Amino acid sequence: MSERFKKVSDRLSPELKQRVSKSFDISDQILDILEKKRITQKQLADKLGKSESEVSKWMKGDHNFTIDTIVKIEIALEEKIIDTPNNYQKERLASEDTKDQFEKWDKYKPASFKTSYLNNTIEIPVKTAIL
Amino acid sequence: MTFYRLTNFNLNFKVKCYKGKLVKWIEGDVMTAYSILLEGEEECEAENFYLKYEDSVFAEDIDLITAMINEFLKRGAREGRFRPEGAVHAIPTGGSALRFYCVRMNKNMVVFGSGGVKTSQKSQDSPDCEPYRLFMVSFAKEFQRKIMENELRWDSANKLIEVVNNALYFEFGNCE
Repeated sequence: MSERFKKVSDRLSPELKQRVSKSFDISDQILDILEKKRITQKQLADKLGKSESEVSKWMKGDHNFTIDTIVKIEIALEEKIIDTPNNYQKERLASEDTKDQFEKWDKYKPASFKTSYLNNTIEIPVKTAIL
Repeated sequence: MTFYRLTNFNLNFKVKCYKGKLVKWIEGDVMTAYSILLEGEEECEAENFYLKYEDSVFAEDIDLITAMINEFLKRGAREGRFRPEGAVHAIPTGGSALRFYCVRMNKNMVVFGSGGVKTSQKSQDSPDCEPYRLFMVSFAKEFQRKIMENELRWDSANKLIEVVNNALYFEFGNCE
């Protein structure tokens, strides 16, 4: 490690470190969604009515995202970009409740029913479904 | 320092012939940063850049650059994170005029050069930064040639390996 680089790293304010880290988190999340959904930055820019170069600037990691911008991107991508720990916890608990209910039901379900929590599908054999 | 650095270039920014060695500058969990140690210099180019600007009026920009490089070291240098500057890249610095030039090889490896202050719309008209950009363009050309011709490669730990003897030694620019 370069001593000079370390010296400058040590003087960085917690605010700056956290701001850059958060900006990286947000842009990483957007880039991951774009990759997953095979959407280009140009297509995202078109959806938002922005230029491609502006969207590209947001992805650099030094952009100060506003809530307005984040909401617009979430709507355009139809996916959440950021969450709060409280909200995440609530959603996790809600999903565990659903899982518990499935498990209770699973114990008494007819043998011909096969449930899967992982992909949230319930396979019902055709004959049973008709009945 | 400024005068010294600028004497390495002609007034028309034509790059001279450079000789130096590729050296490891900083090592992170995911990315390793390299720089170029020129013959006759005590410090590599990236160190010279820090030495020149760390306590200058651009200190805040150096802080932002450092915070960004620290993120690259932890997460990797994702494509699209850099500011394109012709054939090379610069670390984004918001609206600052300070440019720190580099060559991104992949997510795990970046070679840093030096940089300067962009004082005009086109970097070609900025005497304080264009020489450093051209320096990196020349270096990048030679670096890519060495990779393409398999003189140099890297292992899974991002350590550069000399396939042929002295491949870490570079001669680039107008050397004929």
